[in-house]
Amino acid sequence: MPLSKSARTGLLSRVCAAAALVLIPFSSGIAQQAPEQAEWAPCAQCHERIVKHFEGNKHSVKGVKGTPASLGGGCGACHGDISDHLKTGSTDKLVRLSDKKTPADQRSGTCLGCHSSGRHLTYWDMSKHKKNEVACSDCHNVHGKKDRAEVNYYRTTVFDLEQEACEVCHLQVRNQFNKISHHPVPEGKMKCSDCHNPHGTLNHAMIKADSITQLCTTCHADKRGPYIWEHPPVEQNCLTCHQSHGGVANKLLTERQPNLCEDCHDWGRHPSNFYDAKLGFIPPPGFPVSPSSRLVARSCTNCHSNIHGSNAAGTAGKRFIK
Amino acid sequence: MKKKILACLISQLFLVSGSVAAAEGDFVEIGGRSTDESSLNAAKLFEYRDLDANGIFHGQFTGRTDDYSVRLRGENVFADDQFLELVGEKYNFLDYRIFNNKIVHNLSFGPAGGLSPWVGVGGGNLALAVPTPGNNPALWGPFDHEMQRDNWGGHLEVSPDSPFYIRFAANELNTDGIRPQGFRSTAGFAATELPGLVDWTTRNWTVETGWEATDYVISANFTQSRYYNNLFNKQITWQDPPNGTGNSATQQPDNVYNQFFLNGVYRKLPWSGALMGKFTYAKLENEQNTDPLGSGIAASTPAFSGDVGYTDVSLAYSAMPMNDMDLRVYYYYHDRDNKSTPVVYAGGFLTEALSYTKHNAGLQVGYRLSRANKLTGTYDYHYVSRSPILFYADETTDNKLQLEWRNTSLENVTARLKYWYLWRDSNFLQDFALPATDPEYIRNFISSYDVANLNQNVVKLTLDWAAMGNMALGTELLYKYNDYDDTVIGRTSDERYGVNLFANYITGGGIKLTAFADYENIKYDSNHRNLTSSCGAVPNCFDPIFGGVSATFFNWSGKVETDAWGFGVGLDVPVNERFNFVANFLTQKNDGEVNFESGQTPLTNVPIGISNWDDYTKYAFNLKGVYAINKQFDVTGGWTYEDYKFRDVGFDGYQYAFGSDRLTGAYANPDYHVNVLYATLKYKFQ
Repeated sequence: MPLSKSARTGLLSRVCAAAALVLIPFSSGIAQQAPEQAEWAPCAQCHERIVKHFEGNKHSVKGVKGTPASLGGGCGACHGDISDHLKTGSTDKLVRLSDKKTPADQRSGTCLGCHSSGRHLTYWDMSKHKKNEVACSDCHNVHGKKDRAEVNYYRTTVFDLEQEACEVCHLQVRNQFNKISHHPVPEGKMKCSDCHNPHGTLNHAMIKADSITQLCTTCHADKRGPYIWEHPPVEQNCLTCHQSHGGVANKLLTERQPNLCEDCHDWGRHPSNFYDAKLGFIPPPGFPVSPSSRLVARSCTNCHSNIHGSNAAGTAGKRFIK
Repeated sequence: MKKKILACLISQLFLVSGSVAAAEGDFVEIGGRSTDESSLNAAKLFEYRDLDANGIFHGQFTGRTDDYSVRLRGENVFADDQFLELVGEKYNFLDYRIFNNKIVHNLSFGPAGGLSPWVGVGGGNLALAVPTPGNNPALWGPFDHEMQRDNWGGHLEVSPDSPFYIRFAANELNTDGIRPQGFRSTAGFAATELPGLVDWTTRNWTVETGWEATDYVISANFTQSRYYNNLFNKQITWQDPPNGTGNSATQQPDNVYNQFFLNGVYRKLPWSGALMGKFTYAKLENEQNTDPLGSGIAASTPAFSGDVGYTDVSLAYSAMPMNDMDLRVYYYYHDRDNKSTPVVYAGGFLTEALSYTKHNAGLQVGYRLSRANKLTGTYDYHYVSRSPILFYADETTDNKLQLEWRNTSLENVTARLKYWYLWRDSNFLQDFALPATDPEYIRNFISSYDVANLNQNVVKLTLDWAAMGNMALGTELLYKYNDYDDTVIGRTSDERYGVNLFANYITGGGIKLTAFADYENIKYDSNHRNLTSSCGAVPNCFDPIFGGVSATFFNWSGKVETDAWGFGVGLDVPVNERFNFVANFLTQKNDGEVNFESGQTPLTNVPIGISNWDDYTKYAFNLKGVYAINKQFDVTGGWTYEDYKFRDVGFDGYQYAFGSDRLTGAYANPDYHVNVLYATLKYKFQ
C-alpha cells in the first residue's frame, strides 16, 4: 500500500534523524585544550571524575569569554586559593560550593561574580530561592555528580530529569507528581521550568506568565476562548478546579466530580441532589441497579463537556452542554 | 515536509562541522524491549509512555572547539514519545536550538476500551452504523481514545560579544487524536459521550531583544500564538443511537493571542537595592457565529467578536537596609478587559463577559536575629474587582500575614517553620428582594469557594539534615485549613495535612540507598439543599435556613475524605568496577470515601456512603544491571513489574449503555499488570 503524505514525511524525518545520529561519531578532529596542558591537570590526579566532567562543560572552554578557563585560574577561579590544597591537602582556604556549611550568599556569590549580568537572573533578587538561601550549587552541579539511587517508575526516557534537582527540597510536589493523575513530568516529557522560573519572576510561585490562566493556555491553547459563554472561574484561575502537579482525581481535578461542581452549583435541578453509592454501576446489596450519568464515568462532564466555555446558542451554551 | 527539512538540517549541521569531537557523556544506545501486559484497557499503563516501541534508540553527541559547540540528543527515536534536540553555539556570537518533542496521551484502548455505535470515528460527523447497533455495545465498534502532541520548534539568538542580544523563537504544536466529549442529546436528554475528534494546530513565534549589563538589564518581547481547531465548522455532529436523530455540539474556536512586554532591572540603588519592573499588554481575539449549530435560536447579533485585553504592571524593590536585614516591596496590577460582543438570546439569556482588575501589594522584611536564626515577616494585600454578575462576587479582598523562622543552630540541620493566616472578604451580588418561593432565591446562599469568605491557616515545617557528607534526610510537614465560615450552601471547609520524608545514604563503597515516604489526608465538607422547581406546600422552600422541609426540599451535607500514601526505596550498588546493580520498589495508595447526612422528611431516601472513591493501589519493582564490557561498551539489562488497581463508584462494573445514556469507555477498566524486559548496548565516546 502506498504511504500517505504524512507517513512519507515521518519516514524521511526518521531516516534523516537516524543518519545524523549514526554519522556523528565519525566526525573527527578537535581544537580543545588537551587535559595534560590545562591548569586543572594537577587536580585531575586526585579528582579525575570531577575534572573529566568539568572538561565536558562550557566552563572549560577558553574561547568563551569569562569562563574559568579563559580567565586562566583553573579550578581556583571558583574554588579560591588552591595552593595550600595542592601542597598539603588542606581545605581550609578552599571555597567549597557544595558544602552547605558555607553561607548560601557566599556560594552563590562565586557564580554571580560572572553570571549576574544575564537576563535569566533579572528577577533573582525577588526569587523565593534567594530568600530561602538556596545557592546556585544546590541545583546546578558543575561537576555532574549524581549521588542518589533511582527511585522512579519505569520511564522510557534516559536523560537526567530536571525534576530530580527540584524534588530534593520540594518533597510535597514530588509526592503529587507520583499520584495517578499528573502532568508527564516524571515521564520526562515536561519539566518544572516549563512553568516555573527557578531564578525568580515577579509573580507568585515564580510562574513564567502573568497569570495562572495565561500560563496554562500556553500549552492548552484550545482552552483560551474567547467564548460566547464563559465559565467565570476558568477565566480567573485554573487552579480553582485543577491541581497543577498531580492528584488522585482524574484530569488533575482537586476533587472528584460531581462533588467538585456541587461545591458551587446548587439549583432547582440535578445539581441539588446527592449522588450516593446507590447510583453507581454496582449498588450496595439490596438496592436495584440504576446508575446515574451524573455520578458514573466522567460525571458532570458526561454532558457538560464544554465546561471551559461554549459557543452554542441559548441555554445549551450557557450550561456548557453543546 | 517541515519535519523532513528539520531532520535533514540536523544531519547537515553535523556533517559540515567536521572539526568537532565527542565528549564525556556522549553515547549511542540501542536495544530492545518486550512488554507483557495483562489488562482489559491498557491505556493507563501506556498513558505517557510508548511501551509498544520494541526498539530502543537513544543517543547524545557533543562536539566542541574553542569557537563552537554543538550537541545532538535523541531519546526514544522513532517512538511515539520521541525527543530530538540539537543545540549549538558560536561562542560570544550566537546560539540556536531545534527540537521535536512528542507526547502521547492514551486514555482508553483494548478489548474493554473505546467502543462506539458510530461509523466515521476520527472525523467530525458520526453516523450510526447500519444495521443500527442501538444500545447494544456488543454491536459497537472499537476505537482508541488517544492523543498525540507533536511539537517542533527552535530558537536562534544573536549576541555579538556585547550586552546586546536578539532572539527569535518559533514552534508548531500539532495535536491529533480522539478524546471523550460528552454532550446532551435531544432524545431523552441523554448523556452521550462521543469519540471527539482532536485536530489542533498551535503556531507560536516570538522575537525578543535587550541589553544585559552588570548594573541593569532591559528587554522587549513580542509573541504571537495562533490556535487553529481544524475540525470543519468547529462542530461535531452525531446521530442518536435509539432513533437516528441528528445532534451537534460546538468545539473550541480558533484564536489569536498577541503579547508585548517590557521588563528590566536596575541594581545600583541605595541599600544594595534592585528595582525590577515589567509591563505586559496582551490581546486575545477571534470571530464566531452566534449560532454556529444552526439551532434557530434568535440572537441579538449574528456575529460574535471575541476581544479580551490583558494588562499587567509589576514593580518590585529588593534591598538590604542593614547587614542583618533584607527587604522586599512589590506591587502587581493585572487587568482582564473583556470587550467581546454581548449577546442576548431568545428567552432573555444574556452572556456575561467577565472583566476584572487585580491589585496585589506586599511588604516582606527578613531580620537575622543571630547567625543561626532568621525571622521573616510578610504582609500581602490582594484586591479584585469584577464586572457585575448576579450571585457572584464583584469584589474580593485578601489579607495575608506570614511569619517564617529559619534556624540552623543544630549542626548540619536547617529548619524552617512557616505560618500564615489569610482572611478573605467578598461582596456577593445578591437579590433578597426575590420571594423565597422563587427558584433563584437559593442562589443568595451559594458561595462559590473560589471567592467565598474565608479564614485560612497554614503551617509548614521543613527540616533538612545533611550529615557527614554522605547522608541526607528531608522532612516536610504541612497543615492547611480553609474555613469558609460564612458559607451556607457550598463548600464549608477543607483541610489537609501531609507528611513527606526523604532519605539518602551513600556508603564508603559507593552504595547508594534512597528512600521516600509520603502521607496526605484531605477533607472537603459541604452543605447543600435538595430542590425541585416549585414549592408546592413547602413554605419558603428555596430558603435553606428558614424554609420548610419535605421529601423533596431538605438540606443535606457531604463529607469527602481521602488518604493517600506513597513509599519508595532504591538501591544502587557498584558490585565491582564493571558491574552496577540498581533495584527499587515504589508503591502508591489512595483510599477515598464520601459520607452524607440528609434532612429529608420523611426520610425515604437514606443516603448510602461511598467507600470506593478514587481508590487505587499501584506498585512497581525495577531491577537493572549495567555491565561495562570495556571503556567504550556497556550492556544493560532490566526488568520492571507494575501493578495497578483502581476502584471507584463511577467505574466499577462499567456499562457502555444504561437507560438512555451512552458512554464510550473512556478511562474504564484501567487495571493492569505488566512485565517489561529490556536490554541495550551502549557505546560511549570516551
